[in-house]
Amino acid sequence: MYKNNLIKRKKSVCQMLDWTISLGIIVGILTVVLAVIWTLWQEKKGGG
Amino acid sequence: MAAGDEIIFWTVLIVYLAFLAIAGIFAKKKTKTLEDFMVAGRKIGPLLLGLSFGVTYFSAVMIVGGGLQSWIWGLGVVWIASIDVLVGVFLVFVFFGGRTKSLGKHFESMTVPQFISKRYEDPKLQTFTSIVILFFETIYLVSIYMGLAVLLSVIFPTAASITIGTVTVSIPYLVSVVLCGVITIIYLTVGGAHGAIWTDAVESVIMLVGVLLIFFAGIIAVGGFTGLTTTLGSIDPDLLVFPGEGGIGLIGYILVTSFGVWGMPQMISRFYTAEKQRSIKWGLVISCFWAFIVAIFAWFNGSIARALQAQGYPGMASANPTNAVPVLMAAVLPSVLAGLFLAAVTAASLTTGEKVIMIAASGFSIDVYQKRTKCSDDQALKVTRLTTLVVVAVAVVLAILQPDAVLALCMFAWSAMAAVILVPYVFGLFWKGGTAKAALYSGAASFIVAIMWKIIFRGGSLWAMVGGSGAWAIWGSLEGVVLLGQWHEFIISQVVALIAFPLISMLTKDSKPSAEFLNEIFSVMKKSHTEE
Repeated sequence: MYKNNLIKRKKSVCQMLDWTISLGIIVGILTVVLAVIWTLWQEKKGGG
Repeated sequence: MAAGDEIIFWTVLIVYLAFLAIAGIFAKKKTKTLEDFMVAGRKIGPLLLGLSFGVTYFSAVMIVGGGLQSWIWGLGVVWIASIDVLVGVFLVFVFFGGRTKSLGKHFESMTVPQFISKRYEDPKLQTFTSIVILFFETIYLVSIYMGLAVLLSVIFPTAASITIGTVTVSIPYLVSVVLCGVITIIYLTVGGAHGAIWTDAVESVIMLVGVLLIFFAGIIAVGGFTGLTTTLGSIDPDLLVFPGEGGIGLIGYILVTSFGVWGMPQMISRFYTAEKQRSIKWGLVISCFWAFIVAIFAWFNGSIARALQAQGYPGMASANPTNAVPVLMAAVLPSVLAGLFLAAVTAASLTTGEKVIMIAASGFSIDVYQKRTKCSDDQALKVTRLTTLVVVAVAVVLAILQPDAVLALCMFAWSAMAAVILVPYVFGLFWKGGTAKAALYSGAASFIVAIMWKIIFRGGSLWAMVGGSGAWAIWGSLEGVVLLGQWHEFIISQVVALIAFPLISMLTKDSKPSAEFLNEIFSVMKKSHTEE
C-alpha cells in the first residue's frame, strides 16, 4: 500500500515537471551513481 | 526580526565563533610545519576531503546567492546543479584528483603557482600566477563578505547605520564582518589547513540541514509541485522549461560555474591535502552525493519564493531576486528556526573564505617571499601567518568601505584567476608538449582578453562607475554588442587560452622541459591509478 502510494507520488512529481527539467535532475542522479560505480571499479582494479 | 529572535541570532553566531576558536586551538597541536599549515600534513581522509571540496565549491553564500538566478530563470536552473556536480565535481576528481595528488607530493608543492612552475620548470611562472592569485583572491574574499550585507539586511531590516567617510554601513554588518575577521585571523593563523577543514565539516552540515529545511517548508507552503508549477506557469511559461527564460545566459552561467572550478586554486589545492589515493576515490562519492543534494534543492528555492510572492503568501511581499531566500526562510519557517538558521548561514558564509585567505596569503609568503629569500620553512610559516593577518585586514576594510574599483573587480575575479591557471594546469597533467613560455604567454593573453571583453561588451555597470552610463546607453544598445555581451568573459578567455597554448608550445620548443623530466613525472602520475 505504502509502496504503491510512493510510486504514485514519484510518478506525479515527474509528470508535473517539464521533461527538460526532469532530465536535468536525472543527469544529476546518474552522476552520483556513476561516482559510486567508478570508485568501486577503481577499488577492484587497485586490489587486483 | 523580533527582539527574542535577535538574541537567538547573536547567540548562535557567538557559539559558532567560539567553536572556531576551539577548533583552531585543537588544530594547533597538529600544526608544526609549513606543510601541516598549508596542506594539513597531507593527512586528510575521504570524508573530510569530500566535504571540504563540496563546501569550498558550493559555499554557504550559494544558499542566498543562488536564489537570484532561480527567481529570474525559473526551474531550468536545476541544470546548474547537475552539470556542476558532473563537470565540477565528478570529472575533476576522476581526471585531476589522483594526478594532482601524486604530482603535488612528488614536487613537494603546497601551492598552485609552485605546482605550475615546477611542472614547466620555470620560476617566472610562480611569480606571475601568485601575483594574480594574491590580488584576485583578496578581491574574491571581499565579494564573499559583501554578499552578507544582503542576508543581514533581511535579518535586521531597520538596523541603525553609521557613516564612514562617504559610505553608510549597517551596524550588524559592520559588527559581523569585523568580529568574523578577527576570529578568522585567530583560528587560521593558529590552526591553518587543519582548522579550516574542520570548520568545512561543520559548514557542510549547516548547509545540508538549512537547504533541506527551507525547501520542504517552502514546497509545502506553495502547495506542492502542482502549486509551484501552476503559479510559475501563470507568471511566465518559460520559467518551467530549460533553458527557457535563462536562454544563452543560463547556458553560459552553467559553463562558468562548472568548468571555472578547474582553474580555481582553492579547489585544486584540496587534492594536496589527501592522505592516500583512496581518500580521493571515496572523497569523490561523498562530495558528489553532498553536492548534488545541496545544489539541487538550493536551486529550487528562488523559484519557490517567486511563486509564494505571486500567491500573496504572508511575509513574502518584500521579496525580490536578491533577497529571495532569506525572506523565504523568515516567511515559511517557525520564528525560532528561522533565527537559528539565518544565524548559522551567516556564520558559515563568513568562514567560507578561509581557503581563499590561505591561498592568497601563501601567494605572497611561499610563492614570492620564500622563493626570493630562500628562507627556511619555519620562517615561511611565520610570514604566512603574518600575511594571513594582512589579507583578512585588507579584505575587512575593503568590504566595509566598498570602493567602486573593488566592486568592479569582484565581477571578474574568477575569470581572471582561471585565465592564468586553468589551461596550463590541465594541459600540464595530460600533455607532454606544453612549454613554460606557452603557459606564461597564453595565460597573459587570456587574462587581457578576459578584462577587455568585460569592459567592451559586458561593462554597463563598469562604465556607470566612471560616469560613462550615457555612452554605454548608445554603445551597449548596438545589436552586435548586445549579442556578444551574452557571452561571459570566462568562456571567451578560455577559448583564447585553448588555442594559444598548443600553438605557442609548438613555436617555443626551446622552453620545453627535458624528455627525462617529462617521462619521470608522467610515470608518477600513471602510478596514481594503481596506488592505494
